[in-house]
Amino acid sequence: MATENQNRYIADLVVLKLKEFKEVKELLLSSGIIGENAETVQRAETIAEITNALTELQASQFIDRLIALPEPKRDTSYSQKRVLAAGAALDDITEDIRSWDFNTL
Amino acid sequence: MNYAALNKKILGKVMAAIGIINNPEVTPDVRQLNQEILLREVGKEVYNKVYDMNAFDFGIEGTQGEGMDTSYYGMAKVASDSISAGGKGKTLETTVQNYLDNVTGQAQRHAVRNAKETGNRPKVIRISDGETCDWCDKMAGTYTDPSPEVFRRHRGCNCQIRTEGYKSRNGLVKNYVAQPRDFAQPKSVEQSFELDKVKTMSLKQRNAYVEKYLEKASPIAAPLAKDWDFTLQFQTFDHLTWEDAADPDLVSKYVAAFKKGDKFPPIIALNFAKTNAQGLTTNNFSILDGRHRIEAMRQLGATGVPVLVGDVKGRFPGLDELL
Repeated sequence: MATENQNRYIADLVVLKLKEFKEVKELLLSSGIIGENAETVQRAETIAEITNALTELQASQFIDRLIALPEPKRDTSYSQKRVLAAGAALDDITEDIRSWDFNTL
Repeated sequence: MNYAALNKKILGKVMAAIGIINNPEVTPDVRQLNQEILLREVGKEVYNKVYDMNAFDFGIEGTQGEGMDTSYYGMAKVASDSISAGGKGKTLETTVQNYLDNVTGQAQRHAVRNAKETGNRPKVIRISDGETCDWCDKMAGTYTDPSPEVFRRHRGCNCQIRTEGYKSRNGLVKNYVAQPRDFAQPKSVEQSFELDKVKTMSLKQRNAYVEKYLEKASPIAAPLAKDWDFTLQFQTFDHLTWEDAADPDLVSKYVAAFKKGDKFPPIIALNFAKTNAQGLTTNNFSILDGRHRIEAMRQLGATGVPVLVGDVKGRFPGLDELL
């Protein structure tokens, strides 16, 4: 099983080097690092579930693959439309919470 | 009253808001920061409301300030880290639900503690729900002097934590009126800063804007900013540092101005980022101008502000040791 340090390092690296969760599975499967645990990885819903399915050696190989990947091009800020949408969603949630009373329970 | 049940009513909307923020085209640190801000804001509202309802039930005063202790800001960060570290569907939902339920438990705990201190006798009932663990089974029971443990939850814990006071025991909670929120803050931090102009500027225009602004506001810092590229980012206060203390009178003036709806330029900072041996970078923002605006925003209950950040990473190696 992968060590605690490997788990944490993989979690940091996948956030840095990949854009979506499904890409983690795709990379693992396409690289041929995993064999018999492929099904566990495909079913996984978290990075932790994936790293738990890896042996120490497989985790080490996966880290090497991740390090070799170039960092994807990304923006450092959201579009104005997205900022407004997030702000409106928060306002809506706040309004809901403030309207709670004992009848709501 | 099982206050955690209220969280289920907003869970869908919180997940939708996280979905809006979690755009993979944006850098992970910005996504994580925004998730953290969202969770903090929602957590703060949940805390205030649950405390307020408990306070009504127990016959004590409701929240008078921001209301959420900073340890729970840490919880928002942990929840946000868990989200950023990958996950989807039910797993992600469980993380958020767990965060909200823990905030609720914290509000119940504080209200019970304060009620007891004022001579009230609230009751806490913890009920194990469905499939549960040994720890939850052990914690189940009725308490008049509960330890903090009674209000704690582990991930995926569905136990009911009920708090009851005189009013709920006697059917008097129908008269509940929410405590007025007299700690009015600007509707949105975004609305309190001149962002429209800055957002549409090219990098060159933005750099010139910062330089010109600093010439008036902070002549010593102005030459420093000359060669750096500035980007507009939203940063929480815990990432921002500055050396000189803020003048309380000036802060009060800013508080009044923000409340009135006046707009001010964004904060200006330099990022002395540090990269560890594994190549992972930690941001460290040093404020060039705006510490009074930050302090005013903090007093108004905000958790972060828009910052024009100059990135010095790799450009002047060793500079942070010199400064």
